[in-house]
Amino acid sequence: MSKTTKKWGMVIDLRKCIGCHSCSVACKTENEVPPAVFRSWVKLMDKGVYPNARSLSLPVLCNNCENAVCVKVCPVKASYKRDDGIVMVDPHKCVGCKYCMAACPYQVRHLNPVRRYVQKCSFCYQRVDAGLMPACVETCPARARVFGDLNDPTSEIVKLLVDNPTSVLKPESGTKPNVFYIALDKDIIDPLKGVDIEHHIKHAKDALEGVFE
Amino acid sequence: MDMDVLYNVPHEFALSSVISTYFFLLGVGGGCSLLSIWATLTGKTDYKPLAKLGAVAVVALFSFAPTLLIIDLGQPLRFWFLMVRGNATSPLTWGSFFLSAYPLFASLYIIFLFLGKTKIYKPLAAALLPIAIGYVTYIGFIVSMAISASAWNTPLMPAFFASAAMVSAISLMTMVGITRYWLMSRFWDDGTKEAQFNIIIKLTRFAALFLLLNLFFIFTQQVYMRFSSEWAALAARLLLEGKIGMNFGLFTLLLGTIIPLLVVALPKVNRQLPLLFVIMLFAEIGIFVMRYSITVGTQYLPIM
Repeated sequence: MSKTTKKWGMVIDLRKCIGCHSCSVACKTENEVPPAVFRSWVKLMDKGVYPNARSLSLPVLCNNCENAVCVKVCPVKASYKRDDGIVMVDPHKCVGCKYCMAACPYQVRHLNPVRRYVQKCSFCYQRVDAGLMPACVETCPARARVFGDLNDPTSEIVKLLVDNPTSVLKPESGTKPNVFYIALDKDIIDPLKGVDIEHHIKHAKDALEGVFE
Repeated sequence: MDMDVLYNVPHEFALSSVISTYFFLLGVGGGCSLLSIWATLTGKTDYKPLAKLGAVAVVALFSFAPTLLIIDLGQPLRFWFLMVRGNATSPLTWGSFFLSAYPLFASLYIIFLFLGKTKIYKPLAAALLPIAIGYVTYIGFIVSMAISASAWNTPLMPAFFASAAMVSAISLMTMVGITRYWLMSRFWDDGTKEAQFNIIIKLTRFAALFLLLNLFFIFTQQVYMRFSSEWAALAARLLLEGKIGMNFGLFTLLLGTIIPLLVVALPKVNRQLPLLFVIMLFAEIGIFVMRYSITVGTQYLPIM
């Protein structure tokens, strides 16, 4: 943390998150995200049975990884990393091959259904460059999101990281995410928990019909 | 403990059936060119028609396969970016290199092969060999380097996809060879007839060899996935259960692999051309279903 260049990151305190989806709405508004696709969303899960029950929420967004696999696999270098750590997609270069979507272990990229190139959360770089906070941070009513410079030892984000045990999503992927979570429940990050996996296998039932029709 | 996901965002499939069809056709084309190169480099005159058939198949498949890739792009008119903007760490860039180099070398090779200029087409075949190998393996690397799904992210994929490419190419060549035999044999003398018949039999044995290799890869993939993570174990189940599994099990394993292997292993049966034609068709369909099941089918599992 002795470097002088900025390195943006985010801490999401799940003890404060109320799962209100304000962040998703703010993101959609700020970035003109089309219907049916999301750059940022909140996964909600119920755990246990009343009276021993809990509601869990997991805000999901691009982790702007240190070791971003999307940047590595992009065949036209449309995905690139800025010096401050934000992973960007150049809309003028993207060919829409969707390989970055296949490679991303967090599924945080989507093909814009209208413009037909890949988009993702870029920590609202347009706001950050103007000295503002990302829209989701600004709008969060519970102040669960803290955004800041990971290289600044006096920043609030660094203090939070030092004072609290934090986790990242899918550390086994080796992507070194720059979005950290406080009080992350292992069940909500498991894609197999809380869903009817048998349904998923059955849902695949119709998959081959289109091919053989 | 009771757990219910109340809200999550579904995502569109990154790899579509168009891409799995592209993988299939690319594999067939690359495999045909490897077969043609092999027939050329072995130098036996009996294999010359085989080399020519392979070359024709390469031209036909190469003219069509990349169209599917372009159709699948969000920005089809920017397809040429793939050729001029490279990223050394992306297997799609490796593919762009092979897709650019391949027609150049392959067309020269095919022209001189048909002109019968042995001194020129043999070195060209040798030069085309590494490009053709890259051509059939790069699709395996594409899948292998997509770390989002454990079903893809295995070191087996390049070899598995290459072996599948060889099966599909040999199957196609055998079917073409049998059809050619049926149509042309009345004009051949007994010696030529026997030589051509023997080439067909050799091709089916060659196919059986790669089918065995494929079976080994399917088995290894299943074992690896079932013992690596819960998600991967489920993906392994998906390939053998449900409708995806039913198609994979029926078309790829039973009709596309086990029955052809049995037919080739049976002494008298393995010389019946109509039967050989049918099992090679099964093997071809089996590889198509395998490509689809692995690339598209496994995306039915949630990742986040």
